[in-house]
Amino acid sequence: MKKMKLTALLLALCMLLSGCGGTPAGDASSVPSKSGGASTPPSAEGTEKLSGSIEIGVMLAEGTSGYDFITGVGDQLIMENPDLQITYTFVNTKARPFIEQRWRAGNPPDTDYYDFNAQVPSTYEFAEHLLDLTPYLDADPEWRDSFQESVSAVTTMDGKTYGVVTDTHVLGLYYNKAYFDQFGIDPPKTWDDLLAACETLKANGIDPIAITGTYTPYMGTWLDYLMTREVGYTTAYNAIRDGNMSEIPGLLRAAEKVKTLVDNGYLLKGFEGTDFTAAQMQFFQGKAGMICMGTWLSSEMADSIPADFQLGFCAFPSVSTGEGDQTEILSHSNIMSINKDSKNLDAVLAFVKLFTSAEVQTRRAQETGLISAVKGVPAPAGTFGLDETIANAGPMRVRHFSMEFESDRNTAYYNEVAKLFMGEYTPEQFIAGVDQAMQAFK
Amino acid sequence: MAARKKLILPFLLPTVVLIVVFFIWPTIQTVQLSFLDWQGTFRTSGFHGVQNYKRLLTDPTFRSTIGHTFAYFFVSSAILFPVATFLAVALQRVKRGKMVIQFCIFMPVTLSVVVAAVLWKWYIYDPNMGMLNTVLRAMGLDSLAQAWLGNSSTALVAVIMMSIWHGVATWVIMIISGLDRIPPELLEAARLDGAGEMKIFFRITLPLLWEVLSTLLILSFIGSMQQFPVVFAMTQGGPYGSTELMGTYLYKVAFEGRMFSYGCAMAIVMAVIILFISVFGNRFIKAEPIEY
Repeated sequence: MKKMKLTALLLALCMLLSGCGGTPAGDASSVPSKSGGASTPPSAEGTEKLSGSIEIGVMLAEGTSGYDFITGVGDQLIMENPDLQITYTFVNTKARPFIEQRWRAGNPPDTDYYDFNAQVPSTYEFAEHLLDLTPYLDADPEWRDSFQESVSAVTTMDGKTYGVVTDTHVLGLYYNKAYFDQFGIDPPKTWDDLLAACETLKANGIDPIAITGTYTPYMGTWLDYLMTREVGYTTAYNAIRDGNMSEIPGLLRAAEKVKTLVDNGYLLKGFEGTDFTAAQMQFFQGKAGMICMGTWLSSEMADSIPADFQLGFCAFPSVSTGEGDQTEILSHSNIMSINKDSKNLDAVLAFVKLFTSAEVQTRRAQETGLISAVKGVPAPAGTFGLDETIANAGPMRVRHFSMEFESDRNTAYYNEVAKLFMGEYTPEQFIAGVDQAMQAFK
Repeated sequence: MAARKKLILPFLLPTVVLIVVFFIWPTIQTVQLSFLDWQGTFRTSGFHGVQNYKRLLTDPTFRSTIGHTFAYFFVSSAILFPVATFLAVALQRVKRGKMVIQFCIFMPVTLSVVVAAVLWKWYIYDPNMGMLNTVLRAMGLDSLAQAWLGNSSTALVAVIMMSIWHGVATWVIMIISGLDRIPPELLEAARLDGAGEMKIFFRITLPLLWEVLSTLLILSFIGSMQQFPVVFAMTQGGPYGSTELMGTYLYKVAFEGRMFSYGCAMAIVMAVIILFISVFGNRFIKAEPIEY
């Protein structure tokens, strides 16, 4: 009897544990077949009500206005399709490792971010797991042609489109327009203009450039742009990765220009130990005249920008010695991709299509200050020169030479960049330092 | 007796199962993964031998993180233990304002470590808005004002100071519990024999407290080896790697660089270092128990 009781107890415990274990996500039998509706474009809209459930990956944390906006779009879809259920999963920052384990286990959300970018080789491994949107876009030319041509370069690889850009950010030069007006400075178009602007600001007791020293990729944006202007993005990109920067004189010129900023005292005092949020605060508090940052700045700092602050924006200046395309613009586009094994593709596509519609994107730009990649959607109001800069932007290139997706290379490269900015390196030592650091990745 | 043994089994089983599922099995998997080559989300090759361990030997960043981690331990222990012991002894003796002092010591530990780190980063160490430079400038010591977290020679110490401020209360509690174990008659007898307070502290209190302190030293070592959140929130390992510890580097390698197998090899090496030094360090610093 006692043995029976013990056996029963063990069995109950095993059942309990197996129940806690959840579904065997990695089990192939639990994953729908590749067809799953994925190989054929969706039926014409409006012919059938959507039902079932979908899981949408969101980049913005619960409680933010951006999150509320996305759930609002979902609510709009549910109103039209009452039998549809939508859940939202945070897929950004600290959640990324968990989300990637879900991809590996075969039960990812129906939509996700960060898993594909045509200019980021380290994300290519995802391509075979993502829905190729090409037939769906071709079946709906209006949707396909609604995106700006410049951003399709980050979603399309080998003729296949693996995602849509839900919002994009370009990196450029923000300036304090009130100071510029007060001191008769025009937004700098060339490097010489920029140096002159720095000198004027400095002469008036204002640190010319707000910059962080603790978040090195943001600090490195100046150098990234200068190298892009001097030799072109692709040449700089390859030279860094191949560890042969010393063979390209233009890269040394770029480093020398950074040295000029440092030596002339144009950077925020104490920038070496200033966090990027603190650097941004210094700019908005009028302690500095310019900051090189992405267009997320105005929405990110919305609560900290004084009501009377006049924010100006212009493209990063050109350099007279430049061999590269002087209109190339560094950017960061958020790309929403779809799990090709999604069990409810019609509903997922309907959500994605609604989210990237001109109407929703216009509302989103107005309400959350994000910049849309959809044609005809105006840039958020309140920043002088933003519309003009985006309209005149040349080819968009992924910021930080796409290294933020390769942390070891990213750390090795930007550690060298930090030494240049902090005066530990001469420009020549910097070039040699990067070349040496990159040998480890060959 | 046999019946009693049978009765023990169902009581032990849940704990044993939990240990196997949440500790032993993951440990086995970590060891197993360290011999594979799992990079990225989907790319896993077969058996990779000891390549990940070989790579560790030649990884200059990993070698430097070992140095930084030991520096973190030695510097933090050198500051933490005297401060915590002083506070514990003082708290035992102080009569007036004890509650206020206790609040000041114990309040930081109630804060989330990340919140505390960000508070220090912005409001203490920021070169322009931070309290430290403001006070130094107000005292006419402008030359000492600097970018504390942006200077490779001060960043690690700056991080350690915040860490001590945040965690000192825990050590104070444990040292107080050690002090409470010392029979008051011993101290009273010493006083009657004419010993001064300093002599009593160094000749009686400290030797009798050593057993507790040596245990805390080992715990401090383990904590230093595993340190991650403070550094990550304050410097992310910068400037140019001068505050990169084994814990932060492991996180970057495994979760940002998605080199999971290499990260597992690193974790195994870390565990071996911790185990080895904890066991042998414990034998080395443990004194013979004092009978009284």
